[in-house]
Amino acid sequence: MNPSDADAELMLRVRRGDRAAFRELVERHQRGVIQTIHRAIGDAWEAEDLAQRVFVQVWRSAGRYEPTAKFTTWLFTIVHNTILNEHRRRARRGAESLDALAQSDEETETLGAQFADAQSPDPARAASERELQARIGAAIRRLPDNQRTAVVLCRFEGLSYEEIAKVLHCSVPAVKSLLHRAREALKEELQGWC
Amino acid sequence: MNCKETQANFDERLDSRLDVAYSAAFDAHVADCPTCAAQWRAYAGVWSAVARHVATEPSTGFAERTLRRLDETLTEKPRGWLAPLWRWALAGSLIVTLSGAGWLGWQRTHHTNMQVEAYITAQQDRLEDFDVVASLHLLNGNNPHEKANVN
Repeated sequence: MNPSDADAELMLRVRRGDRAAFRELVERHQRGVIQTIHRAIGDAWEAEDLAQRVFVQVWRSAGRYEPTAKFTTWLFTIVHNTILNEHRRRARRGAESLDALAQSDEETETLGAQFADAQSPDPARAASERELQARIGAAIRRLPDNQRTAVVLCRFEGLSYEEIAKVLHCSVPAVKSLLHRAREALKEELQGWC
Repeated sequence: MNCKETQANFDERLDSRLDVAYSAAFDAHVADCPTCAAQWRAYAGVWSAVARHVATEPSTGFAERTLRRLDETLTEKPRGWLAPLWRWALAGSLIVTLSGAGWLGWQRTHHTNMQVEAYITAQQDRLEDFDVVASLHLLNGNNPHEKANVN
């Protein structure tokens, strides 16, 4: 059974209220969901909170899932919409902007990382790598929503152009265009670092 | 493959979407052309740097916490249903109260207006009656006021 079939099988069991199947689905996809959200919002704690919401939504919407659709496409559509909603919610709040939250999270991570750098055999190299990581993370977050989702799904989750097109409700040429523009933007942002 | 064609296929090459023969032609051109090689290094370099980006790992017990959250969500009081009901009830009672107050106010105003109109009509009738009597006296060459004065 290929992974896609296994997911569809688990979803059919979830539709019948099978909690064990739901747990298995969570365990299979928690990493991809949390990391996709983390790359979009930059806050690890919030990413887990939103990922839980995504999985609760998966349970609630299980009745609407058709095995004809690939589960990951369906799952990442929920993830993408959850991220969009979170961005709208944060934009409404105004003061607690996305960047401010991401920055505070990065500062927290920096404290731990600085300690780790000091323990590293090559502290200067470790610090430089950490700075590059922070810059890449910030550059990805600054991309427009659709470009960022296209990059993350293509580069990190290994979805095909066709699958990304389904998640973003657009055509395959539009996905190619999104990826091209995102790469150009990242090249500009990371000039001198790569 | 020329430079224009090579650079137009950077994305496809990065995403391994070129077939084997086309991919080989792409690589051969990049190996021979310093301009395309420099551009390709810059383009691919960014993409490989992005690939090194490390995101957070799920914390221990994430699945258990998600199941607990699911239970909490499912056992939550159906606020989504109740809240609108309360709001509708409140809005309904407000509409009834305001309508009632409005109707009473209109009734009172209407009643007062009718009283005023009746009074004015009565006064006008009396004035008209007086004028008629006065004009009759004038026709007869008698002035009722003078008569009254005489009396």
